[in-house]
Amino acid sequence: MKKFIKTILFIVIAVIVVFIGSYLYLRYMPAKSIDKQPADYTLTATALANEYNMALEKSDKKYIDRIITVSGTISNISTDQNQAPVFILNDGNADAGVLCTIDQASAKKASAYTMGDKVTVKGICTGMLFEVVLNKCIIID
Amino acid sequence: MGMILTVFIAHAQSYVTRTGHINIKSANNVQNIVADNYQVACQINAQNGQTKIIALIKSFDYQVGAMNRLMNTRDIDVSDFPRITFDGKIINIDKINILKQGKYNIHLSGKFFIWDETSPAEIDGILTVKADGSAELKSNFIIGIERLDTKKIDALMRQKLPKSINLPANSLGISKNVQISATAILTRQ
Repeated sequence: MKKFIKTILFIVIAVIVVFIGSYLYLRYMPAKSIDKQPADYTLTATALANEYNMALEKSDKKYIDRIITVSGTISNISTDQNQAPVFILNDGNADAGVLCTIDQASAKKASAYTMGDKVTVKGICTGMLFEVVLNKCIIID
Repeated sequence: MGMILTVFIAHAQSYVTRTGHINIKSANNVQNIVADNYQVACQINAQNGQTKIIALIKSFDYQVGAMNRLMNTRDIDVSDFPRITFDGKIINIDKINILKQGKYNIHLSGKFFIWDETSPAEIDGILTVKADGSAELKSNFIIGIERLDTKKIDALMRQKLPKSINLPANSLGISKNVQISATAILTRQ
């Protein structure tokens, strides 16, 4: 009888641990790092922005959720409300820019950059607002 | 420049941000949905009060890691309607002196464009003009989604979500209200 109760207790505890473990796993599952993922497209900030300006809907279908490596000159540096560095890349053309929110992994590297520097970043395209928007960007060089 | 916001650009008294923040909270039976978007574009015309706030759906980061993984994959295709837009006006803009430091209660009237739905919106907020000339817009409000019937949500879920996690909207107990908290620190263009 004692052995039976012990067995039931063990099963109940095991089930609870599995449930809690599963919940914690799903709750705190980290986002996939794009560091190790290859870029779907590599182009300049100007080329990407021009493509978007020419054909917004077509570009949304092509680029949203894609990993893009983009290079350009930093025309603006700011910080968002989550304290993440934000670069705007364009090459002198204010109508053809790419906004890049830098991921925490590259935040320290980002602090070494100033306006006018050339930079290459890899991020996930989420669409276009004022500029083409890349999220979770890491600095390549 | 993004076509969506070009209409305001030329005006001298235009206040703009590219890094506004929206937090959304929606209750349901399985796991409450909480998400943040730190790439919100906002533009206010300080002369006539015209206001546009736009957030990209794919720029939302979800508090639950698994949901983040699910929503931000190519399987969830939002390219047909990638943006959530508020287009309206601060109707008491004449009571606000954008050049004078201070806190102003504002009332925004306009429309929300979410997916293929357009809903009227009346929102209260606070506009704080700071010493450096920037203007901080803050607002907490609720979007009611009573008008969206669950058949439409079911159809959308069947279309966009992998079959393995497709659940009828009723079983999820999706709340009819989405709480939204928005903050934007705008600078003069």
